[in-house]
Amino acid sequence: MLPIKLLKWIAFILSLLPFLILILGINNFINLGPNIVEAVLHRTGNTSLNLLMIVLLLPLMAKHTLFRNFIVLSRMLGLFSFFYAALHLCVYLFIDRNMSILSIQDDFISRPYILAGMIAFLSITPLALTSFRRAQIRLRKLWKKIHQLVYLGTASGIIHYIWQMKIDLSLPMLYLVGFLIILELKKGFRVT
Amino acid sequence: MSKTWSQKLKIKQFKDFEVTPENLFNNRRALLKSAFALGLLPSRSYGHVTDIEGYRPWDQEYPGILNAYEDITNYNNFYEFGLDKSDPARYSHTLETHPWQVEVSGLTNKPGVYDLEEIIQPMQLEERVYKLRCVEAWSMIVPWIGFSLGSFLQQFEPQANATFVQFFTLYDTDMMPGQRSRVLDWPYREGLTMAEAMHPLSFLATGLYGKTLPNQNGAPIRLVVPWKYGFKSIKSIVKIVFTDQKPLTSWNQANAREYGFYSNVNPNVSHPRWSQAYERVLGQGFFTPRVPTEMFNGYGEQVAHLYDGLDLQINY
Repeated sequence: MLPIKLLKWIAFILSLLPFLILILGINNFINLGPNIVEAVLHRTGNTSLNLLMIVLLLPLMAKHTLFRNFIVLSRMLGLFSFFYAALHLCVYLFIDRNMSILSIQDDFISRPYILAGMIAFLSITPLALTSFRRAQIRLRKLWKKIHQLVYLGTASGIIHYIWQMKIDLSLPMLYLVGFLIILELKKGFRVT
Repeated sequence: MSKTWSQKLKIKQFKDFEVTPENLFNNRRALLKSAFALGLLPSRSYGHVTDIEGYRPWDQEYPGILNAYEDITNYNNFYEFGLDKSDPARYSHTLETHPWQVEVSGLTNKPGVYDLEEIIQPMQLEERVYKLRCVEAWSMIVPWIGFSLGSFLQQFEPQANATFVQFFTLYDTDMMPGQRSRVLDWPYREGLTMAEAMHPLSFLATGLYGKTLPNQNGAPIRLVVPWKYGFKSIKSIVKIVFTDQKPLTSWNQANAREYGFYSNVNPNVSHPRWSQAYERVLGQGFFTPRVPTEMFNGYGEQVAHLYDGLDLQINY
């Protein structure tokens, strides 16, 4: 088993990597293609959802002695997921929509996937805000309840992903299946 | 690669000049024609990009307006080679475009299966700089080389009762492996009204940027209808049918609520996926904002009359 400190450093660097790639891409050190805003939106969205899926997997992985340590990564990976979701939202609002209230309003009314994405972001925001230890101690049982929102956040994130798809749903559907399997496994563990 | 907005405004300028091609164009056209006559234009292989001699890069006259060749040839929607924008550039080498035949059928006095070379031989090549507006709310400025669709279709003497023309892309799962996954009802098909097809802006391209078309851009011959969303501009055409029925079109079949038969660029028709009011001009920096989309992609003066009396909110 990896020592916890080393594990955390590895996770930190791996989680930061997509951000570094974006910074290099925006400054033309890496070629992200001719539609750079779209590339940044896709990358931040994907990374956020991937990290959220990993966070959900961690408690299940901890059942195996080999990965027992990994549960300590929950907070960091969860916060990174929020970080990428916040980037995603900011790029959408300030770069892609250029802060045009009319255009954003039209998106909310005419495009359900925007609404799903917003629900996803709002669901994980309280988790990020209460992620520090003192909040955990002070909120006690309520903390656990609040953090159940991670399931709503992941589910709406996946719906956001499915609904924005143009034609081929196979990849987002894979996320949905993975999510349902995680839910099912979790149930199984609770019974035993 | 930063372009100022005032530079981009020149787009309006050259839109005019490409439909009234007398001044600057004649020069180029003459050069291209002579190149063609001398047999300098590639006749052996359309599959591999070859220079078209006599071509002067447009970008030297109007710097900073055209999209880079690399952008035009590496960011493509051509699902026959995969769904990612970079897939066509990566995987379209499997497409063999020589020999290439085009079947012409339906309400025509000259139906038949023709060698492509034979039917493009009488055409006068010219360059047209058009804005390609994708339904995904991005656009690029492309210097196409080809000839007007109308004069090409006249060769086949369409009958008077032909009111539509339909086009088909090649169907070959070995050459177009993306067709093995049934994301669309293959082969890809598109259609225009005869009035649209005969409009002088409707274009068939066999080249771009002074070179023959790369496979990922629809080699050896593709449609370009600049006032319609990009998916109307069908690639790698093998079949043309004249008909009196409104033909099936692939994206309309896949999702009729989002993609209509006409699919004219229209910032006022809301789309459930992308706001069509603005577009992102490709190849710009991260902080360059979108620009407003123009009705008929800016070609309204030339084409709006085609739709007189038609409710474009319903006939989108």
